[in-house]
Amino acid sequence: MAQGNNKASKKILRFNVPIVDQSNINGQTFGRYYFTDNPNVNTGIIVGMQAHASNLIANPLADISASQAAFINSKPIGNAPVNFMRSCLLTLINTSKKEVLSNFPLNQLFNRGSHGLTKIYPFFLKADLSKSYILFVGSIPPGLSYVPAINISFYLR
Amino acid sequence: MKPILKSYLIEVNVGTTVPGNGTQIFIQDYSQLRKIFLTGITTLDSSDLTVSPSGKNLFPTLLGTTVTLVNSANQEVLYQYPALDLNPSNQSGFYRDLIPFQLQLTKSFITIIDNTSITANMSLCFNLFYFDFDDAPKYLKMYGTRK
Repeated sequence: MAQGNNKASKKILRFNVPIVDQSNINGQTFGRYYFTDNPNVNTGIIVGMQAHASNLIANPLADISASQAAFINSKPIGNAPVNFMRSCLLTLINTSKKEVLSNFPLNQLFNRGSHGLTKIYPFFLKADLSKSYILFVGSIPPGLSYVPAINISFYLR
Repeated sequence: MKPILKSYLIEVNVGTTVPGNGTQIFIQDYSQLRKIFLTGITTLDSSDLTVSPSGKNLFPTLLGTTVTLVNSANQEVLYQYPALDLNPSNQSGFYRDLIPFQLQLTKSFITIIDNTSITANMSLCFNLFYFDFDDAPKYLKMYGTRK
């Protein structure tokens, strides 16, 4: 394994953030999409992060199946494809309500991405997931039959 | 690569006209970044991000741009460094670690040395890794450097 591509951690937890809001099933450009709360993340120290993407739109770099087992408003949720990585910015807010990561490009957390050899970056920070969100700056392709969900794994100590 | 404690995405917009070759464009003020120690930096082009958080298109290539970062003593810490070399995709995925220094953002700037691919209203985005002045006693030692 390449140097810097392994973050020793006690837990690695993957989270889904569907790009959908209550009023519009498709989600909006420049919309903020929040994580669900999780005590493991809120009490731990984040030492690494990794974004995942599917091959729903064919791409050899995908690292997770599309899986459309869950539903929102009768519409299946599918893991977001690789090309969504360029359109998402991650903001993490800590328990003091201060931004610790402000608009971090998800593309730099997707280590099979266009960078090819992108490393899993080391972090050392705490975050309150219930206040943290993804800013979506792209647009959802018309006619998409599923709700795209962004996937991020947190490496925790 | 040293751990990232905080990060902030900033953008430098070229304005409503295409800048000429040799033009220096200063970085605007970000209140959150006035009292920080910079620990690392990456640049982003249009292959990393569809549009900036303010909706501007990004430079399609970083070949024609250099970066100058100035510290609180008005000294250039990074001087006319190619922006392309700050993009992790050109460095096997690694980002540049810097010995922490007090960044003076509003005196830092980019220089357009070749405007071929740049059009009006485009932006260059930087992802800055930093920690606050208040946290310096805690973290300067961790980065193993100057007081």
